Amino acid sequence: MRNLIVVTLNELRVNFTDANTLFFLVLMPIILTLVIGFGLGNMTGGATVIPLDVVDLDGSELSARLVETLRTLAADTPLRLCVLTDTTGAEQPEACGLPATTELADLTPDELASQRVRDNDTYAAVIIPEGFQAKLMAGEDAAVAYRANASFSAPAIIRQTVDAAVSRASGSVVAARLSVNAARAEDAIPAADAEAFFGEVYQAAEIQWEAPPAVLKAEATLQGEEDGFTAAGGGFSQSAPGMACMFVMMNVLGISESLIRARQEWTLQRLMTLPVPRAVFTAGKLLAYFITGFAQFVLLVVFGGVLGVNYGGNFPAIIVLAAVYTFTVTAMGLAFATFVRTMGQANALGVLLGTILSPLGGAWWPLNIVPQAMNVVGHILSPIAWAMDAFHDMIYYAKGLVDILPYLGILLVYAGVFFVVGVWRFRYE
Amino acid sequence: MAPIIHIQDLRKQYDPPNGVWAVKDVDLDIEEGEIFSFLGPNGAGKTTTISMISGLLTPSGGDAIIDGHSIIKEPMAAKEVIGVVPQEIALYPTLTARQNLRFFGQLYGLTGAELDERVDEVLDFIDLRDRANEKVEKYSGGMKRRVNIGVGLLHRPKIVYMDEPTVGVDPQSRRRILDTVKALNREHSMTVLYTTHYMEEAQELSHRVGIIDHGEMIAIGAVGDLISQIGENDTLRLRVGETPDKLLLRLQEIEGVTKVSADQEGEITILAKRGRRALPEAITVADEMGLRIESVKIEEPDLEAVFLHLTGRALRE
Repeated sequence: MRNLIVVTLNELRVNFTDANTLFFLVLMPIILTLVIGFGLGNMTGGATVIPLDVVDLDGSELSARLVETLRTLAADTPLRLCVLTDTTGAEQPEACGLPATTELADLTPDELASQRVRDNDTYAAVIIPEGFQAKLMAGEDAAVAYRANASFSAPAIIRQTVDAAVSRASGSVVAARLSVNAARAEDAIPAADAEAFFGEVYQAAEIQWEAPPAVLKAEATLQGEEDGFTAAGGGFSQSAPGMACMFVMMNVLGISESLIRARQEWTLQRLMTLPVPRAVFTAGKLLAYFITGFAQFVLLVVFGGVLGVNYGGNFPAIIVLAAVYTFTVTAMGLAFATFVRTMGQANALGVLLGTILSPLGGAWWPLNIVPQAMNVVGHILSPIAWAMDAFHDMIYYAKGLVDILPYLGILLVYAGVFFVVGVWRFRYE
Repeated sequence: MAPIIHIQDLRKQYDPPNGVWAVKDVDLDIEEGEIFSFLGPNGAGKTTTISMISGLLTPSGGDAIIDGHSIIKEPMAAKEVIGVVPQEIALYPTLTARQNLRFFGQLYGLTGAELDERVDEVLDFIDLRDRANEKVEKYSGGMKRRVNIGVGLLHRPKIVYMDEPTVGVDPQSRRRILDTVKALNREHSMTVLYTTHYMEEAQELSHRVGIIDHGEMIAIGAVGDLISQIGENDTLRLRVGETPDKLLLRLQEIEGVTKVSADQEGEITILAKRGRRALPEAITVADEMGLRIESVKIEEPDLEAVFLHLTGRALRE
């Protein structure tokens, strides 16, 4: 045991005498965590703001109610409504980034919405057409247009919110229509009052919608829901664990380079002439990389916490996940080391594997936005996918150590396979 | 008294079953307090032999008993009595000499004040105490060699293996290393197993020399005994621009010539009884073939001549 500690400490000392080590170990992942986190839109770790343009060309009572419904539903999301036809002077959210009024003169609100979608100034636009209310009152169908830039991925939440608002409006209209028809059939109301009755029933239906009789009850809730849509917005909640997984893997895969360097510098051969079992030298090297990777992992996760990522207070789960994941990639590094012969090969293959397995495993973006096939491939090829699943469960669903045990189990299976391959193929001579 | 190193039928085949036999059934006894040199050209099997008896390579067959411990059955005990100085600079370049020495010293089981004392002692011995806290990568080649030697001496081993410790060093450093080997033997009574392909080193240092070629030990003995095997032969060295086979055949026919060989640099080595008498005829032969002789040297019998006598080749071919 004493010799193992001596070898491990020496390995750590050798690794940290290189000034580049701290850059790659700490600085670079922190920079990328920030860059990717900002890129994904989560500036503070709090609510993400997603502008949605609305153009009400009808200007009717029903269209105004639809806009109000949209606004109500959006209140619990990062969506911010930018009503381009709002001439009442209501304050537009700053996030809309609307141009000055003078610049609007040449464009109709409909054209402006289209241009803003094209220019990616907004994620999508909802256009309520002229005659919207008239058609509904006449018992005809009325289409609400939804425009989004096909080359710019609009978050699914926009479409869901618009769908919900339109469905709610449709439901209220259907309820009002049926009520009017029933009342008229029994001569309960004169024809002249039908429109007013329609409006009353519609309004009553809308009130009912505020407490719908059938609801979807989520068994695990998003964290921080008192603040609205918090961690699930991506940003640092994605980039902090993602970069931790990626950089720990790339760092620990460096073990193969280290083993080759030890052979080239003949330190491994000299160690083998000492009265110490050979396994101590590889074990010491592995342990040094494990310790470094574990510390790096915890540091980057804690840095995510500083940026506002809410891990749900699952500190024991994070520590166990860090240990299991680092152990897995350490075993992977050992196995990988047996397939390379030169420093160049080790370096190139380490970078290659890191940059392939990271996006495949969801370190750069969440796997739920990729096609199902890629999701499956990622989970087969990349241990990162399972670590990220565990993180997502902790961050988004407040799950704890017991809940992430299946992911940890799968990571340990990976570790076992890699370890067996590494030990079986490793040659001292 | 039993030899401190007893090697029996030691052999090594790389990439079995069809690979090359680098060492073939070597038998050797080395007495305590002896400086024994393995002399042979590059690839002869010196390093493979030393690697097997230092635990770096597993023998394909045979055994070696080091101070009573089998390298097969008690490798750890055998390793405790040896210090190894590999041919390569086996140090951590980004660590200082002191850090290197402390690390290896700890693995030899040294701790605390004893470790500090031994490290300082070694630093004094290799004359690097004043620069002990500089990174090894900043040292000259000779200084690195001295640290490389120092690591093998930390635990005051009974036996030191030195594998070509003077390769690639300047003459001054080489001199210093040779003096170190002598001092280890003389002042600390260490048994030294030294490998080299420099005949002069083996001749200067060794009580006995083992000549190894193609993995086989072809001669063992004291320097004087080995040289006496070739009788009164002198070594003639002729440097010519080129060495056609026809020239070598003609030289071989000269009376008294026993061996002729040529290296790639155009130097012809002739082993001849009463070499001075063969010299005029050798010059005449070269003249007749239109070859210009750039230099001529006559040497007394030495280990190089012994190697030539035994193998028909020069040591540095």
